[in-house]
Amino acid sequence: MKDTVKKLINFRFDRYHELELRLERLAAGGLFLERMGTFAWTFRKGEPKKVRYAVTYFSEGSVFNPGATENQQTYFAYAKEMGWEFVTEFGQMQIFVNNAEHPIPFETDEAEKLANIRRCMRKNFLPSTVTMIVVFLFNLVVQCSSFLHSPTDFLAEGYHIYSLAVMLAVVGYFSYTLLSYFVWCRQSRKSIALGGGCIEKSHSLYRVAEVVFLVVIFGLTAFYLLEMSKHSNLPLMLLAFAQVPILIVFFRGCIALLRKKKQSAKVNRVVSTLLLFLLSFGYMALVVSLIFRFDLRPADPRPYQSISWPPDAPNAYEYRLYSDSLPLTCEQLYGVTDYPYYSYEKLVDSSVFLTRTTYLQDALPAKDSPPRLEYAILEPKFAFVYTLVADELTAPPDRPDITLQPVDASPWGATEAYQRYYDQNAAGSYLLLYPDRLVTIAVQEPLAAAQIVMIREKLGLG
Amino acid sequence: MAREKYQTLTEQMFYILLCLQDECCGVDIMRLVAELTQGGVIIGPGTLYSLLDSFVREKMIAETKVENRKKSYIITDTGRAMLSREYDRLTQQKADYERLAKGRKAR
Repeated sequence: MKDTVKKLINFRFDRYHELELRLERLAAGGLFLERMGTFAWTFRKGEPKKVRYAVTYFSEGSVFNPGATENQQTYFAYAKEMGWEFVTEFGQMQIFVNNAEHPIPFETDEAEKLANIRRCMRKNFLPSTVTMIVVFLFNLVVQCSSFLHSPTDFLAEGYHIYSLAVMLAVVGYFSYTLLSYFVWCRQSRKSIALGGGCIEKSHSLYRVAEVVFLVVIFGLTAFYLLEMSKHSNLPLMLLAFAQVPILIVFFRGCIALLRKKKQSAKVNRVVSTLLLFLLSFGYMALVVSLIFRFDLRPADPRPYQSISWPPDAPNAYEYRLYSDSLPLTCEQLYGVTDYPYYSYEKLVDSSVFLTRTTYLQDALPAKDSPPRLEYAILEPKFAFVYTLVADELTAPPDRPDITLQPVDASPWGATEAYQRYYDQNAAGSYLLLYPDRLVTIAVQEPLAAAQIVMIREKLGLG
Repeated sequence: MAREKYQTLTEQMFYILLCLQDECCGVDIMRLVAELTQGGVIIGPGTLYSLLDSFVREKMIAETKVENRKKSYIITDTGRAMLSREYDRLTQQKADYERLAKGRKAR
């Protein structure tokens, strides 16, 4: 029978007393802390015993140290003198155990204790938390610029929305952690000034907030992965998902190896961090090469026929001919009857804000290709989304030779209608605004009245 | 900021500085303080380390030697001045007490 057990222990630096009490409860149940790990903590099974734990912080402590520093050894010696045996450490956090029922407390000056905790947090917790906030804020800026570039594309694709929401929630969580640290420092200072100690019992609202944050972050991540699964395939998703744990294992393994080889903390930090960077890039390169080697591109659930075009040409390309059902086709609009290489595609992008259904009937590239047809129906689910999409679609085109001019909406039964012009020549590109939807149509030539009637009938417009 | 911290000394600071009139290591300080105060003042290991570290930084004590990972310290002139100021403060408090509280009882 195994004499150790692994446990997931969630803790916060300012809840050290709660951690002490938890460790004491576990010891009373026969589980004694042996080691803190990256993913889980190791406990040794033994005779249940009443012992006391002390969770302390030592500013020189670091996961990169090859062993206890000279000052740390002095610290351990003072602790040992008072019956406190060193158990384990993780970075700056040190855990001691004392077998006496009423031992001399590890810390007897609350002001010094607070000053020490703040010193340690300035060295580790604060820079890492601020870095995380900056990194996620940068990602948020990238997402926002993507939104500003095309609100329609952004709002129609669910994974953009969930990715943005996850990042917002993570930034919120780290900001909350930072804020609650400063609140804890302030309350502890106040309590010490009044003759009390550092705040050891956190308000239940903090716990509720943390649970809410974690549920929201994990929930949104699940939705994000679900959305991604529509655009990706399972092996690729698993590879992407495994990246962080794999990198952590290698990073921690490198740190442990260099510690074993008694390399200095500086060498260990530089080499391990460098390895982490190299591995991150290496992993990405591996994923990309696997995608191409084993064709891990997203599986296309729609039936299609592959065709090499032009036939028998040495530099032929592979084209996919889809056969999705379209409400309006070139056959109906132009009377094309004898072309066998049309591809009929229907693409649906949907999010909680917007559904965009794009229909495309395309021919293979050739001089005498029959006409192509593309139209999209955008159905915003909120008024503000309608405004955003309408503003984007009616915005003046980037090119000076292209204009979007209002045209008579009545043939379309729409509230507003626009047509694209190239150098004052009307093109077969239309934007139609209806109270509940927006429609874009792109054909090669401007449409005739009879064609407009047919489109309205087939697409149920107006 | 650090100087403001030692405008007054806590009991633990006072006794640590008092014990360092002669060269002494950290572990001995803990024992000496307990003996001197008959257990009235106790210094936990974490607090002892932090205070000694702060005192060295503030040049109130100086590290004299390290033997078998045991660091020894001795009080400096700055530390002595600090201790003396604290003594004066406590004496003044005692005098004020005797003048006001005891005097009132005698009347």
